[in-house]
Amino acid sequence: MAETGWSRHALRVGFVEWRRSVRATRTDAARLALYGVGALFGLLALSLGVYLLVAVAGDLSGVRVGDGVRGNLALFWLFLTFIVGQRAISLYDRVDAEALVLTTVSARTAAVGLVVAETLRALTVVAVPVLVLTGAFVYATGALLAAVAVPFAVGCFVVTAVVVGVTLGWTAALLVATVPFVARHKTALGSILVLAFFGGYMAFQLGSVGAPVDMALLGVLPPGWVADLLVAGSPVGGSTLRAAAVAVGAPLAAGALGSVATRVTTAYWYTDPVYPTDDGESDEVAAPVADGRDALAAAVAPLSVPAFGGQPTRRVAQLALVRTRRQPARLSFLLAPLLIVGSTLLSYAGASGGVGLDLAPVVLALALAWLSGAAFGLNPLGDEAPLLPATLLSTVGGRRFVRGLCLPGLLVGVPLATLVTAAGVVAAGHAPLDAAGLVGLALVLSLGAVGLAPGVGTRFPRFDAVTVGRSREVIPPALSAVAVYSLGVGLAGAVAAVSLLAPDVARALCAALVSWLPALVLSVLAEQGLPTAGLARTVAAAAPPIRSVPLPAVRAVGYAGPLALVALAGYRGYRRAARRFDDCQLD
Amino acid sequence: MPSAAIETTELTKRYGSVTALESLSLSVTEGTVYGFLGPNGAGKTTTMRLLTTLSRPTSGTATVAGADITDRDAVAARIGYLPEEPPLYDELTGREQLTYVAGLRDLPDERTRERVAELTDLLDLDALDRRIEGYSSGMRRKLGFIQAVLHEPPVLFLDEPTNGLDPRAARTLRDTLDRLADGGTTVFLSTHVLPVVDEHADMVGVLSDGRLVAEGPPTELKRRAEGDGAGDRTLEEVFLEVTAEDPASEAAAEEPAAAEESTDG
Repeated sequence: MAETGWSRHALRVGFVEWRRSVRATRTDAARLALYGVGALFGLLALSLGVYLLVAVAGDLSGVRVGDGVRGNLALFWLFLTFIVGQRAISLYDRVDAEALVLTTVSARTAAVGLVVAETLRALTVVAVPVLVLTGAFVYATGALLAAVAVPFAVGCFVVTAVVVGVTLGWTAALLVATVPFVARHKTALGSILVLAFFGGYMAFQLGSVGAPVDMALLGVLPPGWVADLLVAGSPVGGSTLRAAAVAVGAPLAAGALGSVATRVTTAYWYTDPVYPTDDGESDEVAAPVADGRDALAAAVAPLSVPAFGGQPTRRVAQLALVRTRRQPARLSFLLAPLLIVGSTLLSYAGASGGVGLDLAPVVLALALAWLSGAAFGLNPLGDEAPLLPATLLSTVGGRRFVRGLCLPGLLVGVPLATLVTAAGVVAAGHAPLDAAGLVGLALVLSLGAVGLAPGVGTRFPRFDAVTVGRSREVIPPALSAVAVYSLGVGLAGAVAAVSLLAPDVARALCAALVSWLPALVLSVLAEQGLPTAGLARTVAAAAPPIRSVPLPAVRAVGYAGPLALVALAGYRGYRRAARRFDDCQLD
Repeated sequence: MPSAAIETTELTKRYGSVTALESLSLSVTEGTVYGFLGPNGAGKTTTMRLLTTLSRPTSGTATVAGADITDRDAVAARIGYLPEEPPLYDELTGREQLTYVAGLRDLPDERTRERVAELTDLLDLDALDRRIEGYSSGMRRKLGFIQAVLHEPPVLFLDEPTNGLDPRAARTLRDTLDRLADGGTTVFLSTHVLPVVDEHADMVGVLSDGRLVAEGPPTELKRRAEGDGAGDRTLEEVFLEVTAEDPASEAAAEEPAAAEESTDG
């Protein structure tokens, strides 16, 4: 049951939730900057899209929508649904200010409000490009019906993806809240799910470049039929039956699934959560401290944190290890990017008949080095959260605090990255010099990453929590921190690895980036009448000397240079993190 | 004769093997202030969440303003609730928050403006047009209180409403509670500030380990304690006695019925 006027109330809840997210984004300078960069690329893509639309508009009469196009659209819909599902389970599985909202309106109203808010967020992102492209399409083809059909089709696409994603996300949350097995293994199950999804996703993506899995197979899925509605009334041929099916079916499906979503979430919100130990297993208890170890030392056993950094450093390190062990959900946010990379590699290996095995040690070295820093140090101030004032007022000081954060990475991450990479190069059968280089890469990169992470993490701290499962709040690192840190570690590692294993490719890439690409841009500008022709010739002239650099030199410099830089960045990151901790103000 | 605004019968809540609330039976008369006391972890918040429908009981029944707590929409329409942490949106201004809540309650715009002006004036809450993220804890609590009473609910649940308020604001809020009760509103007040209960509550219930261990008007509870031969007692001493973790508390646990009898009489 819901109160009178519930749909109006739900729209109001949705609109206010949407407005809150917009305001939260506006006040987050780092996130705004990232969106700005995204918008810049979006603008370029949009301009290209408009240009292409207008250019090909005259030749569209013989073109028909095929299963390949439908499959691409269906795959994108699945991707969008997955992202929405992840957001539903982690960001808004419960309504904010629950004590207010649920004692003011019905749970159904609140749930529908959350769906409306997520739909508005998605539409905010696509609204401008869709309207511009629609305008260009109508202008170029003269198909007036497209002015209605395209926005309607996009609306159907977005709304169904949101409703299905939210339903799946909330169902997963309900399972975590009600099934002890799922609650106990939610991190592992979630990882398998991400791996399976992105594995499948990449298999279809690679299918478009010749692998056995054909994208057209997905063309049978109704979300792909949106393509037929998109071209309704235009010179492009499409299936009228499919277009009609989408126009009628999408609103009906959204309504039906919306009803399911509200039932699921109402059950979830009012269910007493099970805990991982509810089916009889005993809860973890503190280890006995009879052997002379103190409680924290016993809690991290069988690991042992040496005391060389002093007692405060040791305590910070032990605390970081204990918290990670007892709340593995803290790592789930970091595992997602790794799983995406891993599943991509697996798909690639599968699609190409095993070529990926050569790349496995490189990916392992990069991923584990990345994880060595990210696992413990990518949000040091936010991780302290309510304890931060006490930590700041303690006598630990910045250097000892940051050393404590680095210790787990040094004790666990660096050896793990190095040993696993060593095992990987043996399995892949790399030549001795390549093998030694890759192991060295893993060692130096992980060392640098351990110092770089707190440096970046203190520069972009995040203090707002995200709910994982039921009543477990986790503060993940800021998106900007993850982006900057990943770019630093990933770029340095990739350049070093390519230089080591394929110096000719590294040399060609260098020539392209330093010479050919800028020269091309400058030439295009010169054709537009700008005085850049001379500069274009000068830049183009740099390519031959680069291509004549001996490969051993490319190998040595390309390998050692980035690694030296990342080591230096690690040291500076550590110093800066310590300074930021000492200067931290709780405004 | 005034009827019961809140009535619970054998209300019980268990989380797995843990019993948070056990067989709570109480009756709160319409237009009174009911002081709900108990040590930390006694089950007060659980009771509040059950009565406000935010949680479902394991067994037992309860009605709030005549509505069964299983009928969430009916209860929601008749209550106002200020939990210990006021449920506010940091990204909104105070005025936007109140307008939003009033909209969800279908309050006419004109009436909303009148009520907001009246209540903000009463509680001396200025800066309504500033973002809530910049509010002090006292301002947040005032705003939370205003949104809880904005729609003039017949039953009001308050959890530590004077936390973080300066003495003047706390006094104003306490006086407001009396005025609300005089106007027929039932106030279910959970707090650790015993003098507030002593001064304003018509009836007091003391919860310990999920069980109601004492109930009655403050004067009655104190008189009963004095009857033990210990001379003048404060409500604080009564509270400490009935919630003590010793055999005496076991005896005290059997007292509610006696206290109720004397009240009824």
